Amino acid sequence: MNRRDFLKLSSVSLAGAFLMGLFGRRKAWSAGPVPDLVEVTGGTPRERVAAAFKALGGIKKFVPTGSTVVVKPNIAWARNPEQGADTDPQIVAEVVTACRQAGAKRVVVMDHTCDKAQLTYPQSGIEAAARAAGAEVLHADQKDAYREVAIPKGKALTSALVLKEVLDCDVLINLPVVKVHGSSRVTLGMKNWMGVVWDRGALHRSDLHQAIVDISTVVKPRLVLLDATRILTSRGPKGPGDLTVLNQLVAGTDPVAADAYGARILGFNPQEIGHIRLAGEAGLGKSNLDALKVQKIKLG
Amino acid sequence: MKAKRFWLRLLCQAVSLGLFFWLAWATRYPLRLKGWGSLYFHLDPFLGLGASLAALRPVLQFWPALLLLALTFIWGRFFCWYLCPMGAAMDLSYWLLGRRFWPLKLRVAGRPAVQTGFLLVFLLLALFGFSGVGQRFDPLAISLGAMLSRPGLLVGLLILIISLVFPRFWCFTICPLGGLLEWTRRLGRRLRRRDPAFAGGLTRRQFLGIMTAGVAAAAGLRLKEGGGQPGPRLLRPPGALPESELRSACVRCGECLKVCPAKCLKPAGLESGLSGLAVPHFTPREAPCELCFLCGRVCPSGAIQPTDHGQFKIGTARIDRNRCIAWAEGKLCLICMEYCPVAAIDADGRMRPHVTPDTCVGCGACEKNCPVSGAAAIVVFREGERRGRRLGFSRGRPG
Repeated sequence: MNRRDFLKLSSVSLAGAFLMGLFGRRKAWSAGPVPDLVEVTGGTPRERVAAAFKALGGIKKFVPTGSTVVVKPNIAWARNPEQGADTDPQIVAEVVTACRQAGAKRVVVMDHTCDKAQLTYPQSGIEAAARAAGAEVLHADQKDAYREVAIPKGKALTSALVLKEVLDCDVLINLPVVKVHGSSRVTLGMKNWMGVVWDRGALHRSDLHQAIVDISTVVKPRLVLLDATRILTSRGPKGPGDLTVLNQLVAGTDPVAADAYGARILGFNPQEIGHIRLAGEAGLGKSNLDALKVQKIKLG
Repeated sequence: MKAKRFWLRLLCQAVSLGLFFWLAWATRYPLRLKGWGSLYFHLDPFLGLGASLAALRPVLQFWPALLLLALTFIWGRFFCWYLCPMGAAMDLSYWLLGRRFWPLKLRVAGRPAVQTGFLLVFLLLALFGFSGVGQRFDPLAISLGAMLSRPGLLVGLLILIISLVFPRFWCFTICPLGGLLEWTRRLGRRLRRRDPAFAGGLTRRQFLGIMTAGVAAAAGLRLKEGGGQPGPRLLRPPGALPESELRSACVRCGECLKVCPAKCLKPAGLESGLSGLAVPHFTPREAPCELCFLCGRVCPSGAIQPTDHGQFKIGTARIDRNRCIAWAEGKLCLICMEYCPVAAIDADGRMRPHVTPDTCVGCGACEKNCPVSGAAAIVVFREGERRGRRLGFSRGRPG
């Protein structure tokens, strides 16, 4: 290599490095710091989901190409979408679509339902909507779909049978509906994990709030999206009860922060809700709402 | 000509068999068939006659069966040869398997005297309220039964296998529907003066013997059974008629068992007496009623009436406070409240469940999901039940 070549190469490399650095910095700068939670209000389900992902830094950040995604909505009850007992089917479909567009290989939608899955999947509208969006809709009512996992940090439970799809997936997205609950007071993200375990009764027989936290120490979502399209404010979880239409979606990566925020939507102080307080104390996330950075987006 | 007739018949049978099982398959949640699902059962004069004898009034839902009788009067047992799904299954399996070992010509194996005897006994039993006994031998019910349970399938297969050796033995020796149609056919031929008088192959002595023994046995069973008081936990599907009318109107066809999405309805054994044999009931701890009301929509006889929310009550849930973990141990449970589809369970300040009896419909979702091991701590009793309306003359709803 002579001097001319050396200078040429080094100057081109330097310029390239400088440009790359500038570009990279500009990108980080334009996106701004990512908030703890995003609250999107109004718009269509598609717009809400798109806005939430964008504010969190884009879905590609969470769903790599070729990955297997499990979307866990609440499909517990044989109720119509308008009754607010299950996650809104359009929100589920939009999340599935977004994952597919991000290049996910498989998107699985499933729930260990309370009423028979044969009834809840069609009646909630989720089966048809998710399937049309390109998801694999699987039933979770057979014991062989579960695998036993140890819960080393468990205080009420030492082990549990958890859905294999949930344990083995690359990306787990928790997509509960926001509603009140007769025994756990609210049912949001962490309570939604009762739909990935086989023996729900065991959670009640031990200590419900602690058991929910114990499950949350082993089942960890990449993303939590709280569907507050309509919220059930009485006679939860099954209803029929009072409904408020909010057209809201709350998104974040911290499962405890999301639940704390959801509890406040329902009018509770999050610290009053046993499993949210205990999860905060166990270090699973931030339960103190004042310490959270929440980006609020209003759509037309 | 004969060969042509043979192929035509085989084709008819294949189509009818396919139709029967397609209708049976389509009798499922969510029900899209508008009442045509139980077409075959409406055509069955034996089921209709049994129900009418047991109820001591004509069960008009079976009027299409009169049509079948009239045609049998003219054409003979065309139903058995061309339409009956069980006969079709026999002939088709004989044609596929049996004829390799036996000649193509069907040698019908029949004992008319035995068949007449069976039919007489079944009808006498029906008259005394035990219509379920004969109805268990109905070929349509057996055919549907083959789709319902493993024992039902075994019974069907057994009959098919025997028929490979003794073709149509069932139809000419046992089948009560075949017996009834045979009588009709013979009567038609007699009135057209083509046949001498037909006594069903029985001598007068045999006939009188069967009648006397049959009446004595049926009356004895009736006396033994008394009023047939159902137990406190005998839960009937929503819209079921009052108990005694239910038992006589039910034809044990299995349509309700087939359509039930919860698979909760089961045919009773002898626990509710011989008159309650094979009448549908459910045990919530095994599977609760999902309140879809499809059983009332498919029932061909009106034994289960079409019903809806607010028109029925299966029973009432009661809490055993000594075993309930919220009451006895102060645990945070309330699963019963969570699952209750009609909001009949409330929690008090100490998070203990209470049932509102007037709101509870007795579906048993609470009993099924109670986390207490073994028997549930909340259990549905027949107490407070509200049954379907009485069987009316004008409420025929066939087809």
